Amino acid sequence: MAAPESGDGNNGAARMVTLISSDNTRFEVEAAAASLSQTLQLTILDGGGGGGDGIPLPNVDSATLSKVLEYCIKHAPAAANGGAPNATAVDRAELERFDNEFVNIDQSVLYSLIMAAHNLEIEGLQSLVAKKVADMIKGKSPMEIRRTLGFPDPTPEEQAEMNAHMLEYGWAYE
Amino acid sequence: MASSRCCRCRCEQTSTGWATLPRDILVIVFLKLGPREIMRGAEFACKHWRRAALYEPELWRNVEMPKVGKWCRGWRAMVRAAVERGAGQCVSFSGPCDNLSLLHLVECAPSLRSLDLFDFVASKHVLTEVIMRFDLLEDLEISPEYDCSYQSTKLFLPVCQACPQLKRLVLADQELNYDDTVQIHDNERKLKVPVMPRLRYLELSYCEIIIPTVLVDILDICPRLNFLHVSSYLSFPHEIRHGLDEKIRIKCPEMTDLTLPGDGLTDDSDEGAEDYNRHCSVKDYCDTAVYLSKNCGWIDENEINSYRRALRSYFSIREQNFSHQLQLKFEKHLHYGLMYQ
Repeated sequence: MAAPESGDGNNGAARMVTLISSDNTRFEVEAAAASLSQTLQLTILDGGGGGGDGIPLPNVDSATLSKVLEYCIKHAPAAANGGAPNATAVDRAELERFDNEFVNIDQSVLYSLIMAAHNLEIEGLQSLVAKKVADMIKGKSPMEIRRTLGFPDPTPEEQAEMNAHMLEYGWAYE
Repeated sequence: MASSRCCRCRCEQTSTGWATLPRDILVIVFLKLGPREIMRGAEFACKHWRRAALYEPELWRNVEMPKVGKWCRGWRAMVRAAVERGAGQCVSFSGPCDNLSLLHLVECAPSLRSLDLFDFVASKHVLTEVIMRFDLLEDLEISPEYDCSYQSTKLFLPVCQACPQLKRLVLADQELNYDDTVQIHDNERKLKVPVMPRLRYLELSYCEIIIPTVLVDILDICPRLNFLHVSSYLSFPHEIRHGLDEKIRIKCPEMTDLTLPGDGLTDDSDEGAEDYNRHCSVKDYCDTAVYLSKNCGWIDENEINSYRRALRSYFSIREQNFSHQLQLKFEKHLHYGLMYQ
């Protein structure tokens, strides 16, 4: 089988691949978009994911995968231009607006997203979510961070240990 | 069945997920936070996060603590710990310093390339000793603490002597005067600075330049300079600025960016500075006129004498308003000027 180029097929129609989430939902998506994932890129270059047999993703549930693909589809054209050197300012602003909107979600969804981005090696998405998380905890005290990200309540032992550390480091109180 | 499994795992994720985030993802989040934020909050959030903060040298390669001033409690311990955690990998540091923290820095971060010291109060000797030992240093920025000692305003010469390999140098609140020059002929003085073969970017902000022509000399010692920005509380009068600009551009056609004291002076919103400018402009004008006439012959004797007269009358009217210190300074300047008559 001749390995087709990723992205545009020769006959005009874009090549499609199928991805299967952990809960067995099938997603059909352009190969160019799925190739934003370094993990999937190799499989797709080898001609995998086409036709009837999809690529199973046992670590990603359907809700998360649909969100991940939303990101990939939006970013695929810019990525195809090699980091978009000839993208217009309007395009860039539009992507930025999309990104801001995209991560404006609950922390539990952010968590699933960053784990999926990590598993699938989608660098841009990982960086985007990491930035959002960093912004959420910036300027907050340790207890505020725990509450923001929904950490379980610390055991008294844990609490005592953290207090001791903070006392040891005078800078923690300002 | 599939969906119930999914639901269970999501519940687990939301309750404990962030606290046990895989170390390499946590590192990415921490890198976006920066050292100061990690140390002020995140590293105390849980055990796992703390271990990442302590044992990932990658997080401490660029220790930038712009908001950690001397007024922060425990600033020294904080700066010290940050640099130590870098385990020798730290390549850039930006933060406050004193003698002790500088010595510690050179021990723990020998491969530093970029160093930005603000609230600088260290001794000149410690500074030169320390920067001399950073073999890879190419970018240095120093702003002395407000109200610093006189020796902290005389760093240009020692810094250049200690680090001739620099590519970028930014110094604030410095004074360049007769101490920094040597006499070569009767009326000619040259900077004592060694050649800085790689220096491309030089910024002297809020510096007092007693002899404006040293700015032309700087091109002799920095042959590759293409950015020179000099600002001062006292702006050079227009004709002096113009003459200097022309000389510098003739001498160095590659100069892409040149700003001299008084260029583009628009934001006098700072009332204090404006007041100071008003106080000093006559004095400044006279000084520069005297020096220039001696060094370059740009202004003739008659003109100097008229500036002198203007200055004297200005003094007698405003005497009570002049600070004692300023007057001493003026007398010193005039003395130097008269020496060359």
